[in-house]
Amino acid sequence: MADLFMDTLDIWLMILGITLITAAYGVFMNFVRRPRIATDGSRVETMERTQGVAVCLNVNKCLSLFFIGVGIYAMATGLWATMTWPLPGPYNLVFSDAWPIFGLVTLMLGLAMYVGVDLRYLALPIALFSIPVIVYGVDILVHGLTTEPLFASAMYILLGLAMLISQVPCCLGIMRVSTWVSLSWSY
Amino acid sequence: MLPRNNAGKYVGVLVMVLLILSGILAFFIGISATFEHTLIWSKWAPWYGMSG
Repeated sequence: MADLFMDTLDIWLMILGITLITAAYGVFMNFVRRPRIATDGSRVETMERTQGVAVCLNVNKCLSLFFIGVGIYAMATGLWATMTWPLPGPYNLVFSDAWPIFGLVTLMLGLAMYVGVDLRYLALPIALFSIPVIVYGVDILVHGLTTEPLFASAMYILLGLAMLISQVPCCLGIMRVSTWVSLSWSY
Repeated sequence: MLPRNNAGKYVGVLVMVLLILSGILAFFIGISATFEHTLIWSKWAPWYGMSG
């Protein structure tokens, strides 16, 4: 019984999975999918713009509520875990301390999407937040933490890379991420 | 306009792949941890139906 501890990590990891796959859905809807507007069957640019923005606004508004909710939950439970260290020693560093940061970024993103501001201005902090994520991933691998160190570190590193890569086009001005909407204008 | 679209689309696909892969890994680790930790905790309260 010595290894009993307050364990909220299981549900955190599953919520993380839900959020990441939802984020992938948001990326698909806003960046990858090319909306085909069907008033007369042709791809009229102005119609696409109008319709594309309308569609993406709805998607982003709905997704923003999800991100805000998850962000508040992750922030609250993460701050609790950061202050109480409920997990065994080093796991508090790589999980408990990282969780509120995930909540902070998710909440920040959700609020920005809800308000409808230009997300390009979040590019820098989100890219910088990828640094601790990648560091924790390497840390897990180096010290062999968890029963699945390879998978756990891959999860962190892939997420960090996604945060880093998604900002590159924004910084270059290739892809404006004004609530993921303006990109659909160009489709 | 067009190159901008394609660049955005390719980066979008790459980001999607990374997010989905890390999401699947998070699910995998979370689900396996759930079974491991529940087993440990169930021994703590055997009177609620745990046989061993």
